[in-house]
Amino acid sequence: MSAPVRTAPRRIAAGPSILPGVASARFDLRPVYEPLIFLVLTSAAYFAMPPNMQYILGIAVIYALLTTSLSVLFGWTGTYTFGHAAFFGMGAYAAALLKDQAWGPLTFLGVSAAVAAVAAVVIGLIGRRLAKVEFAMLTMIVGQIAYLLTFRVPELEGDNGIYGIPRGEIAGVDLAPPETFWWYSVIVVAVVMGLLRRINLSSFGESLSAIRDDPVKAAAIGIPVNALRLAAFTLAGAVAGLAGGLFAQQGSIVTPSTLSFTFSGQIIIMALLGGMTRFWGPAVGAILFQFINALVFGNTPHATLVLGAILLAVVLVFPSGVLGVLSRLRGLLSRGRRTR
Amino acid sequence: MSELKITSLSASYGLAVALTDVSITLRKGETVGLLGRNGAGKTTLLKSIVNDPEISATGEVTVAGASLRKTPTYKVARRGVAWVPDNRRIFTSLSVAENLDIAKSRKAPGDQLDKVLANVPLVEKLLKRRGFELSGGEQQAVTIARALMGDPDFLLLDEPTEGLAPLIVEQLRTSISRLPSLFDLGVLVTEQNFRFVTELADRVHILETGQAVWAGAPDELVARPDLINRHLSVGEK
Repeated sequence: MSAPVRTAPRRIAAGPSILPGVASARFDLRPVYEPLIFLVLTSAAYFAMPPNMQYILGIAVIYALLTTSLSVLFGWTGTYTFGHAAFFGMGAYAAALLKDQAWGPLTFLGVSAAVAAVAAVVIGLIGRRLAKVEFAMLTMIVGQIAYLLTFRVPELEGDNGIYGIPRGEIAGVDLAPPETFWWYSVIVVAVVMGLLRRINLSSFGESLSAIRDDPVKAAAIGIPVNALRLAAFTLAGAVAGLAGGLFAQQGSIVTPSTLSFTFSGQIIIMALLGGMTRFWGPAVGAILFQFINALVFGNTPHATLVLGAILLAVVLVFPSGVLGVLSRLRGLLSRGRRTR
Repeated sequence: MSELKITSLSASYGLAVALTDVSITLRKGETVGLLGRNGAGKTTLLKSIVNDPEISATGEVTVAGASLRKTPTYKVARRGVAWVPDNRRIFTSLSVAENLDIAKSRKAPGDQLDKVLANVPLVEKLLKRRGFELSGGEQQAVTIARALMGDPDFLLLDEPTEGLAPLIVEQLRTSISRLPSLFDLGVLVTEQNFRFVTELADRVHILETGQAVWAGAPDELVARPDLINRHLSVGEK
């Protein structure tokens, strides 16, 4: 550390992006080409599948968005939530309650996202001074309250749920046929995933990573920890709500199970299965989980036991999830090639 | 001249009092050392300056006459007081470049990065490395560089030599000694390493069980083995 004092070199331009590595990240094309790859791969799979599997994939891509929204909290920010399904359900119920409005499907999605975002802001403000575990408990309690309200508020129709949510049409194109709805939903999911990826690579995303690594040090260098946590919570809630709205359009029905604590747990399991340390991990986990779930429930009476064993294996054997394992294998292979 | 003024500062963790009535003034361009045994209150003093939420403090801390007492930690940093906590605390999941990027403040000049890279050795070579890949000495260099990215007026260093090899400690001392003039800032450094502080600082304060028990020039302290033995339990041979 005793190098002589040098005159500052001029090779790095001043401006909002200050570092060579980071400046290139700001103009990273990953938010564009990664969602495109996602769209192409899932669509290719969709049109190669029988209709019953197409239905599962249709739900799985919506869950891919939902689990990625969870990862904004768990994976990016280090904020734990056990009630994420509440935002998904709020988005879905918002679309269901407003089903008679003559709005376009994208407007419904906007409303679903807005309703969930407002709820997230309120919960985030209430819990802004709580420690990690206490905050997680707060989200769980709020989730349970939202779930119970579906049985107490007559307009929410209790166990029966709300039927007849229209898919609507965009620019004269009716979204009712399954293939048309597939394109609509996968494009919406890909676009929002692209936006999330952009946020993930931005300085906001970096600051969230810093908060996850060490909130005390993050505050010490001027990062407003509580405000950014609230922003992340709102973003996660809004995206989960949007996914809920899409889910309501997809199935034309919303039931209390969309808000349940069990479903919140399932969202965490899906995200863990893919791996929360990588951006696309939760999405991959959601899709894998849906197909494993379909196969297991169709073929064994001990489905819950099998799913439990899978979760245990994920946590114990590969905590970084499927994408983490693939990345490690790729590392091992490339090292093997170098040594050959 | 801008100064960081600590007046009658007392602090506690819940019911446990950790600091009592400490007053220190730090001016830009100078280095002040804080010596003391484990538990003397050195870290508590720095945490109290930046209003760490786990500490309850009374007294006054001002920068250029304006109080910091009710200011949240992140705003203290934006007011020009950079704190480098102990244990180095680099953001391990970020690259070194990203560690520096998130710390740049709007008020920092455009060439702040150039200045930091030019004058904090090692860091430029590490820009693309991830935080978890760095050695202790490299991490310490990055944490100091990161603190400088906000163009602070005052730099608070908490036991920067902890766990570092003697050669690295020497390099670190040389590096820190140049910061006040190069960056026009004041440095407040806490340490148990007596030699490190007496060779680095313009003035030294000794803390013992949360109280300031001595203050003076480093040469005066070096010439007082009685003080050293009484308050620091180390002897100079």
